[in-house]
Amino acid sequence: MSVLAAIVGKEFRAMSRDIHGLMVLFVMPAIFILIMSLALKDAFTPSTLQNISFTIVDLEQKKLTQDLSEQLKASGYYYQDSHNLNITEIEQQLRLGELDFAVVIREGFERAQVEYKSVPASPPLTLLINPSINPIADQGFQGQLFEVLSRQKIKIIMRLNGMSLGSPEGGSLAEKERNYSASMVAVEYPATAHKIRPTSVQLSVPAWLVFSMFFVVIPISTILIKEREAGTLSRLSTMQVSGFSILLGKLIPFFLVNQVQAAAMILVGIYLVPQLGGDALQLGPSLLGLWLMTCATSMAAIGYALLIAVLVRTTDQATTIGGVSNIILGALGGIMVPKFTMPDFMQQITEFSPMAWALEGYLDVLVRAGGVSDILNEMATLLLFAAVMLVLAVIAYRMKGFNR
Amino acid sequence: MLSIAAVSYQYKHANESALIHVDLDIAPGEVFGLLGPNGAGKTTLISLICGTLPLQQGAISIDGVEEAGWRSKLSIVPQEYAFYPMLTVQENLNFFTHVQGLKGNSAKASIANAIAVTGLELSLKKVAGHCSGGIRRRLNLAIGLLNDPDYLLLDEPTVGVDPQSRAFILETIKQLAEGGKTIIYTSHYMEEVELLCKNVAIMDRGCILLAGQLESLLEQHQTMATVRLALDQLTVIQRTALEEGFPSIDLNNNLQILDGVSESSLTQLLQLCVEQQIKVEQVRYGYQNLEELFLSLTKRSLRE
Repeated sequence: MSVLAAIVGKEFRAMSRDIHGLMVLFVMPAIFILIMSLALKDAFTPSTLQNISFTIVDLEQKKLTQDLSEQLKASGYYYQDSHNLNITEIEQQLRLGELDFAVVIREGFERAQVEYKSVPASPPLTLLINPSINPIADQGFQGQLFEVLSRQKIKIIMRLNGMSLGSPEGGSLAEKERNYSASMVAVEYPATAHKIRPTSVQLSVPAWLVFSMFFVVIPISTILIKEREAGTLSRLSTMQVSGFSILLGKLIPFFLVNQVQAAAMILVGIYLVPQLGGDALQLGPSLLGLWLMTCATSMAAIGYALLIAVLVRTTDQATTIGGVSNIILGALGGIMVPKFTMPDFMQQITEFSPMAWALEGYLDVLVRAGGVSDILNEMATLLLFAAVMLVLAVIAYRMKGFNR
Repeated sequence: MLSIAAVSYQYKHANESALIHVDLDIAPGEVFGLLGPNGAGKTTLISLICGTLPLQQGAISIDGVEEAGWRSKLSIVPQEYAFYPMLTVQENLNFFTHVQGLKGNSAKASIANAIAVTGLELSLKKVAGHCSGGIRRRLNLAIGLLNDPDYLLLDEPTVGVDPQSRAFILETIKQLAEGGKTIIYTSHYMEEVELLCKNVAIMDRGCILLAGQLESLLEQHQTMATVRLALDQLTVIQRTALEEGFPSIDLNNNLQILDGVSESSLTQLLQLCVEQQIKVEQVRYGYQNLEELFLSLTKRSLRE
């Protein structure tokens, strides 16, 4: 028993002095609870609808179309006025994620609603959707639209036939009209290559690719710390090798590692996921854009990793701080929680996560069928971030006397 | 001539100076022994010479030139295995040659010379981390020779090696000195210093306690006696008798060494010990080795 007591006592002492271990056990979950709770604060309440925006383009301007507009505006979703915009401009807004849905009511809508039996040859209503919207939000809005259309149609039929909703005829009619309403609507994702709904693989590959690229922080930190402990950094310093050269020397190989990582994950999305029954990843029209986005993300990830590598003292710290900070950046960056579910202030915080910039850039290319010109902002931000991180790393390298 | 003049250094957040007004002159082509216990300031002094620490006070010059330009003539062989354990011996040599800007034939010649001097021919393809302690020490030394330095700073170059490798390394150092290189040698092993060095400096707590030619330093202290008494067993009467008879002797010294006793007073001291029945554990008179010299200067063990 005394042996066991000694071991237990030793473990408690060791544990209490392992600050990083305790951080992982206590601080990390606390931070996670904080971030995730705030991020998902509105996810289960109706106020979430206010974070999903839509607009209506009424090309017919009749009584029924105005009624439809009013009912949609009363549905709880955020209505964004777009009176001064044409369809192309609205499509651009959808592509940029500035707008989530656009309901375009075309000529012939009222006639199609009033006519009872005939299914319209071409749908008089088009629903344009932001392709990077979360599928749940997508289905939710579509459901709401069909519901409003069905209700409107049922009211018309009942009024014409003198029926009530409680009657057996009324119940079967509601079900029938719901299906009919679906045929009234053409659903399009205007920013995608084939205007079809992006698959889960199309959304998940960029997210996890960005997340994994930022994990270079652990090997980079570990290598730098081992070099310092072994005295090789000090030796290189006596050989007049500058800290900048040493850090730059790490950037290049890990840049290549990130390229291989990106290629491997994209290949998994294209070939392996379909083998297991999923959809295949579509690369989009701009391979150059995809590669440039990978380069910019890689530079940002390595710049960040180098700063962490210089700031931490031990490999334990590198693993803990590098790993935990990545998870936090991922949570804040919309990797784990869709941005649209977050309250406004959390959405503003995501603007400070490099993972969010990288994710937006990848979504531009892979989901919104964007080209190089569409990702210039994200690339510039990521490269600026990389440069700032690298400069800070070099300064910290000198200030901390990493060469001694 | 490598001259260190009035050099002091204090680390940030440290209460005491790591170096206090250090003066040293090291002549070209000699093996100079820099001795001292851990924390004496040896590594700080070496770092200042190499330029990995910025000079705060004083001056360091070679042949009167204080600019850092001559640092390319220096090379340090640190106590740690400062190379990449996952690379082979050859790959390490190649890497450290190329980062110093050596290319082509001059790089090949440097590597070949370093291999030949340190006898690494049979270990070139081995992964450095898998090599024996002796081979790793030789590789550490070989990397220090790649830039063909005029001044070689060796920090404990034989720690953790077997006697054979130790003998090889010591022999190599001797040959390097014979070849004209100036070597600053720090070690805990006094017998190595006695074997290699003509001049030494003994440091402790950031100060140079003694510096000069090893032989003459030992000679100067030759006539002093070292007496070890069982101080912990002294009665009050015995202690009083000692204090009255020999006021210069420090009876609070835990190591129980009474040094600096001259030939004439030694007889009186021993007589007093017989009269007072004080137990004498050891008496040495005459030649002192380096370790004893250090102990007499610092009252501390070199391996402390």
